[in-house]
Amino acid sequence: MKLIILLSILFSTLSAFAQAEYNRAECDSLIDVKRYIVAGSLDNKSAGGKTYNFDRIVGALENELLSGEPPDAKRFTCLSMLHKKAHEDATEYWVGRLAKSTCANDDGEIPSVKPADCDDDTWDKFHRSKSLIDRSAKRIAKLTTECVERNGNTSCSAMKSLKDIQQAVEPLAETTNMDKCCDQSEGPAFRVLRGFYTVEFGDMNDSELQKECYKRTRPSNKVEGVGDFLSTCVKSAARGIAEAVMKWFKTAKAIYELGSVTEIWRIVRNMSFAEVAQKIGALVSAMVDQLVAQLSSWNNCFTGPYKVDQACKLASSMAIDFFVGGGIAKGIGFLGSVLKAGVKDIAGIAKNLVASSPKTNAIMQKLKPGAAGKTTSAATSATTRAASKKAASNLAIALRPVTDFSKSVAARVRKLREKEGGVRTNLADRVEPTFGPNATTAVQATEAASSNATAVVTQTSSRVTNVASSGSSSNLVKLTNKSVQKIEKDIRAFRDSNYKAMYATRGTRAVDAPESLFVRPDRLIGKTPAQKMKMIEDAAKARRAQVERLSNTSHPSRLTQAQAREILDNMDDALARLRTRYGQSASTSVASGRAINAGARVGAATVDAVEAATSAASKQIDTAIPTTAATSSTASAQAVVGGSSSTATTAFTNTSTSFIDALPKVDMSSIAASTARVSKAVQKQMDDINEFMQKARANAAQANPSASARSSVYRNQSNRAISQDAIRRHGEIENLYRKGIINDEQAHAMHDIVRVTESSATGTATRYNTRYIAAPNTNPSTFVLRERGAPVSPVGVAGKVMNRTGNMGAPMTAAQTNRYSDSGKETAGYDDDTIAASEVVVGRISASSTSITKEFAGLKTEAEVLDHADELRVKVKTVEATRSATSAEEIEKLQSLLESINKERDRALQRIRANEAATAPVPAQPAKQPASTPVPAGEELLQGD
Amino acid sequence: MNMKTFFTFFAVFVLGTNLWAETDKSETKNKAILSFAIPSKLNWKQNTGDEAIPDMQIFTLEETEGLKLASVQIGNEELWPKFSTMDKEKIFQELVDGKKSVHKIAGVSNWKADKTLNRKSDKEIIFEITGSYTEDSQNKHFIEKYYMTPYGFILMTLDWTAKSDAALVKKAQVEFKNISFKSEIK
Repeated sequence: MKLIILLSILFSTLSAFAQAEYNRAECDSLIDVKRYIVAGSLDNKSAGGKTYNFDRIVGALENELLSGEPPDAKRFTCLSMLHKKAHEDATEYWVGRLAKSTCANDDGEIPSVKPADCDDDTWDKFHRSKSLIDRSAKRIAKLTTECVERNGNTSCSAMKSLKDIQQAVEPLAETTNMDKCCDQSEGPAFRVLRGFYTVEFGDMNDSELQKECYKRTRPSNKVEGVGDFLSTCVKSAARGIAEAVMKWFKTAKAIYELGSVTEIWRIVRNMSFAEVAQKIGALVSAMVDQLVAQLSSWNNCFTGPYKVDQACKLASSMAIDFFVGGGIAKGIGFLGSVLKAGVKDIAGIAKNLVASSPKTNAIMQKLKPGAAGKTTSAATSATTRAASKKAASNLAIALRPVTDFSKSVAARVRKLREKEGGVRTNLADRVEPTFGPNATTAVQATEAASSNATAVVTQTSSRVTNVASSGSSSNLVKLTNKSVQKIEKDIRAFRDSNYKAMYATRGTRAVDAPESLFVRPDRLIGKTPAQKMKMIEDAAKARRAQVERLSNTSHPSRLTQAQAREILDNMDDALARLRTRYGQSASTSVASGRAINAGARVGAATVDAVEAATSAASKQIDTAIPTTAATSSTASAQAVVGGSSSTATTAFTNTSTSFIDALPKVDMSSIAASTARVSKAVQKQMDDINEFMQKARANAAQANPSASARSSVYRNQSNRAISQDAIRRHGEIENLYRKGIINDEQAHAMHDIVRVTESSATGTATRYNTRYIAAPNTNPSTFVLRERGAPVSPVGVAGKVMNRTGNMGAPMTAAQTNRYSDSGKETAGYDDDTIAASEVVVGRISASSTSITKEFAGLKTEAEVLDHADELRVKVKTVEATRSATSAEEIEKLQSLLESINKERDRALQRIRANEAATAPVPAQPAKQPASTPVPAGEELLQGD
Repeated sequence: MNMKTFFTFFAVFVLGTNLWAETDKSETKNKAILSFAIPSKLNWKQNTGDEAIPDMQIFTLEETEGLKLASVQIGNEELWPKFSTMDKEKIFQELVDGKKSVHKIAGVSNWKADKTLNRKSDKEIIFEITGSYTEDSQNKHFIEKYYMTPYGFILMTLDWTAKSDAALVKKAQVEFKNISFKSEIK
């Protein structure tokens, strides 16, 4: 028990520390905090008074570490701190709520089975929150401890940079001004290394260079003696000269320049090294004196031998820059002067050199005491040390792993109960007096934090609360408030998913003409798309400012943060749609830079992907579908489709509104996770989906019968019997479509293949006219799509009939056959090898009654069985399609063969499943989730943001 | 170095210039290696240790004063198009103009030179200048060899003064004439 108490104290301490370290003054300028707060405000001291979007925070951290740029330690620290604060607030909220409930047991833990007296609401909401919080923690843990890769960039290398910085800073920040010297933007030492040490450190990025800077500014660095100083300095000077000459050689562009360099090289090589060293060394020494005298603050950064090295190297490097920067003639002239000068003249030369170097002047200006608001006083130094220490501590905290949510809650629930000795009650039986709307909002928002998707549901309910709470509208805000309410009303209609789903048949102003939310449509007449978009953007900017002003006012009837955010989000949605319509890039978005920009970018990418896929298909490139992991990458599919433009879905709705966009925003993972019991909220979400789907399907059926059929195949809502593997294949096709890799016509053609190879569907499968002709080939996991060209028209059909009847024109060419046929009966879709191979296989499996049984005998996995069955069916269908004169008897035989294949396939699957069940140690769970299950697993969702 | 037997010192230097194969599909990174070999019976001594300067080799003879052999390798592709397209008179004139820009500062006078140009192949040119000048009231002589390739070049020089041993200078000149150059792409 003592250990538990100690742990709880530790958790509390850590959490409190983390919370205290989130510095709004420092971080709000680095990260857009509003983006990560779904509702409420950070100003609200109540843990339940704000709602975080955990996934956005984690997504931002991912971007920070995987962008390919060196990570910004400060921004990383701020984001991590925000996440820790979100984590802490959620923990605190749930501690308060669970401590008083009967859902937590005596140890403060939530048991795996719901206690009988635990209310459903608390139970369900806690688990949903836990699921989301744990998921974000898991993503961060993976990001910070493993090598997550994106576009060739790995998180481990970024983390290494951060840890290096932290390790270098932490032990020394207290005693030196290393941070000040090595600051990447202002640090004089860092700037010197970057500016002058081009040969040594030219390839280093800023983080690496900063590490080198820390190394050179440690107070423990010592110089052994004067000898070291001189030796180091002279060597540096000699190297500097060599560098200068080599640089001239390498940069010479004209033969004239080459002649100059070779001649100065002749002078250098004909002097003894001692002469060169002496003269150059004297020059450097004089320069160092000049530099040190004038740049003392900068000189104080480097320590020990690095101070010597830096000073000498800087001096000679400065000479190089002087030479090269001023041109070869100037450099050679200068060097000639040096080589001829006596030692006594060197000081004068150095002074001139230092004074005439533009770089030196620039640095001197910046380093002069008080310049650019920077001082080097002792007081500032103390402040700097404190800041360095704080920065180091913050980064160290940011780099710590996220605590386990459940354990933290349990430990603190115990602590709270011990402290307060509160009575536990079933919260369903009463109204919570302690946690009001804020708490409720927090719970819902924690759900929302999982993704943008949850926003609609939670915001709808929070909006009711907020509207109610702001119901005592004051008359101090008059006309403006009215106009805002009008916007809100418009946008509410625009936002409503049911309303949206009905749009395709009815249409509304908000959806049909989103521009009317911003400007009068008649003002746009005659304008170019760019002009229209500019007018809309300008109006949106003003409207946005209006909303923000109303939400930031101190008046009691001000717009709540939630209301304002919803309005702004909806304006962003409308703007994104308008940008898509008018072909404007997302980069022209308004200043707030909200997440919708990313959505628009994704949309643009989707269009590209669709175009690429279309192009590929038209070139008869196989579009391979993996035969495993039917719903893999579902999360990314959602992300892509969410931002997809009308290009991909024109066939569905014929509007600028994406069909998928209109889907109710529901967190599928929370639905999937709530296996124990479906709460009312989850049930409502599911009902919303069903309702939407019904309406949308009806609408789509009216607009495009073939699309409706395609959709029904996916959901298997036809009355036909259909096998599990066919459903799986259909699911895979639909995923490709959702990702935007294939368009609806291509998907339709692929579905066609699955249908015709599914024996049970053969008799009833409907072939649709699409732009693509689908031909099964020998690889069952590959679909060959051939672009047909012009769709079949009555004229085309007439021509086909006329040609086939013979006498009225030339026989059809193969191309014409292809063009006018969407039937699998034509041999043009098959090459000779495919036909011959199919005949061989059909002959083999027809040889005896046990032939097909043998085909499946050696297969050991379900996937193998399913794939082999597909392959055999394709062979049979190929034979059926290509035999020139297939009699009814032969057709019947082939049908029989297909049925046998299916039968043997099912037997083989039963055999495998029986074996698995016999060998599985704990067969508690259902053996396997059907591969066609469209609901993504929680883990899959982790991949998307 | 062995001073009695015939011996060759062979310097192989990898130029900083890395060349990429012509096709983008190939990810093989090729390196241009320029080298020279000089058959020598003289006891050349190379500056080493602290006296060494990166990328430069300077050889001297202890037996005489002012006789110096030096080389430098440079990965400069910019100059190849000029050397490969200009005639030798033009090359010579530009080199001389560049050199003369230094002479005034360096106190060089009476500078004069002659030149030869040998085109070994489409990718190798050897340009040679022989001349003399006066510096610090002392007559000095030089031979410069520019081994130019598309990947960079080697510059080799032989310098001597009026005080140098004439016999050794003559031997050094003969050996210097017989320097062979080679470029490889690996």
